[in-house]
Amino acid sequence: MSFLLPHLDEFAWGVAFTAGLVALGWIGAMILGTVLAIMRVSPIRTVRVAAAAYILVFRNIPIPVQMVLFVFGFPLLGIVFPLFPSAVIVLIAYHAAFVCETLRSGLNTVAVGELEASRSLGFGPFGTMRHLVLPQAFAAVVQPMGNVLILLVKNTSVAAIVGVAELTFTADKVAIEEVRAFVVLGGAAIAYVVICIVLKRLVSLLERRVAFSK
Amino acid sequence: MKSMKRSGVFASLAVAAVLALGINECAVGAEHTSSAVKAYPAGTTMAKIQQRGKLIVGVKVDFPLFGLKNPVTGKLEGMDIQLAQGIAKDLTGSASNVQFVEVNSGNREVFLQQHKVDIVIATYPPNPKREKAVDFAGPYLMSPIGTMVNKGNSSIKKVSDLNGKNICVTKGSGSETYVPLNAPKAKLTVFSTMTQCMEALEQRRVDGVTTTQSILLGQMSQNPGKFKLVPTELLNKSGKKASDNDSIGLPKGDKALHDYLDSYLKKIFANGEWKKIYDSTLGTVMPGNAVPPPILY
Repeated sequence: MSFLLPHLDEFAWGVAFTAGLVALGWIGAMILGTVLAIMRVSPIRTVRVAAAAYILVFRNIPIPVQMVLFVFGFPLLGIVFPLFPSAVIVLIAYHAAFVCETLRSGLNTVAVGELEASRSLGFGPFGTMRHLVLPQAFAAVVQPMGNVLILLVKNTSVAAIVGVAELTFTADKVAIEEVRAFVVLGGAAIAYVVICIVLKRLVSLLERRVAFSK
Repeated sequence: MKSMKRSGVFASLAVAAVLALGINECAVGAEHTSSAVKAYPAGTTMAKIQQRGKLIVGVKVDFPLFGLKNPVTGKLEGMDIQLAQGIAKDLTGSASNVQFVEVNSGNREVFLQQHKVDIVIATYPPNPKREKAVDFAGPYLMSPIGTMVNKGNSSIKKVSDLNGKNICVTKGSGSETYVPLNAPKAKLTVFSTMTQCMEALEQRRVDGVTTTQSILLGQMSQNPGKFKLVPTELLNKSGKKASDNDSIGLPKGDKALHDYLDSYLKKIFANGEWKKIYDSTLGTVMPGNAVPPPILY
C-alpha cells in the first residue's frame, strides 16, 4: 500500500471536495426543494404548473447528462461558470426535485382540519405553512429525506466527469498513474460507504429527536 | 395457437443456427485455403490467435487519425486500426479477422492482465509504472509534445508561457506530469477525454491543450481553421525532450508474442507498409517526411 503514500494529500483534497459538494449541494437542494414543494401545493394554478414542470425536467434527465449539458452546453449561450460551482449548481438542481417530492408526501400528512383550525386562529397562508405545516411535514419525512441525502453523496461522483477533483476523480487519476485500479477504486468505495454510514447515523439521531414533536 | 407460435419461433431459431453454422464453416474453409501464413509452435499466443481465427485488439475510438469511429460508415479508422488489421493479416491471412474492443486510458492494463484482448494498440506510450503491469513492443510512432491554442491567441509561444495559463490535459496522460514539471505555475484542468479538452478550449474555459503533437494534429484535422499548434517542447525528468512513444501493449511476460510483434514492426518498417499506413493517416496533417522510429522495447 506504500504506493498510496505520495498521493495522501491528493486524497485528502478529494475527500474535502466531495464534502464541499455534499454540504453546498444539500443546503441548496433543501432550500430550493422546500420552495418547490410549497409551490406544488399552492392555490395558484400557474405556480403549481411551474413547479411541476421543473420537476418533470430535472427529475427525468440523468445527472451525468445534466452535468455535461451545463458545463459544455451552456457556454454556447454565453453562460460560463467555473467547474466547481457548475457541479454544485447541477447537484442542487437535480436533488431539489427529489427533496420537493419527498417533502410533498410529508405535506400531505397534515390533516385538513388542522389547516382550518389554523386559519380560524388567524394565521395567514404563510404563517400556517411556517408554524404548522412545514414542521410536521419535515418531521414525517426524516428517513426518506435521509435517502435523498445519500443519493446526493453518491451523485457527487458525477462531478468527476467534468474535471472536479473530488474523491472519484482523484481515485481514478491515481489508479491510472499507479496502474492499480482495484486497490485505489476499492479504497474510494470504502470511503463513500463510510461517509454514507455516518450520515445515515446522524439522520437516525435526528429522527429520534423529532419523534417527540409528534 | 400459442404452441404453434412457439414452434414457429423454434423453427426460425433452428434455421438461423444452421445458417450461422454454415457461415462459420465457410469462414474456416476460406482460412485454410487463404495465402500461406507462418505456423507458430503450439501453445504460443500466435498459435492461439490462428486457432481462434481472429485477433482481439484493444483500441480507442475517439482519437482522430489513430482510432476513430467514422460516424457515417460506423467503421473504425486510423493508424492504430490499420496496424491491427496488418497484424491480423500476417497471422490469419485476412485483414478482416480482427475484433476491436474499445478501451480507454484507465483500463488498458486491466484488459491485458485479464486476457480480454490479445494486444492493445491505443496511443499507448510506456512509463515505468505501466511497464510493471504489462509489456510493450515497438514503438511504432514517436511524437513530441505540443500545445494547441485558439487561432487568434498569441500569448503562448514557448514552454515558459504556459505559466499562469489554464492548460487542459487528459487524465493519465504524460502531459499531466510534464506540464507542472516544465511550467510550475500553469493551472491544470484535467478532463477524462480529449473531446472535452477540445470543447473547453473552444469555449475559452482553458487557454491551451497540451498533449502529443500527433494527437493534437488529429484533433485539428477535425476542426480545420479553429486552432493552431504551438511547438512547446516539454522536457522530461532527466532534462531530455519529452516524447510519447506510442507502442503496442501486450500481457506481461509473453516473450514470444513480444518478439513476434517487434519482428512484425521491423518488417513493415522495412518493406514500406508502415510508410503507407502513416501517409494515409498522420501523414495527411504532419509536415515533413516521416521515418519509422527505432525499436526501443
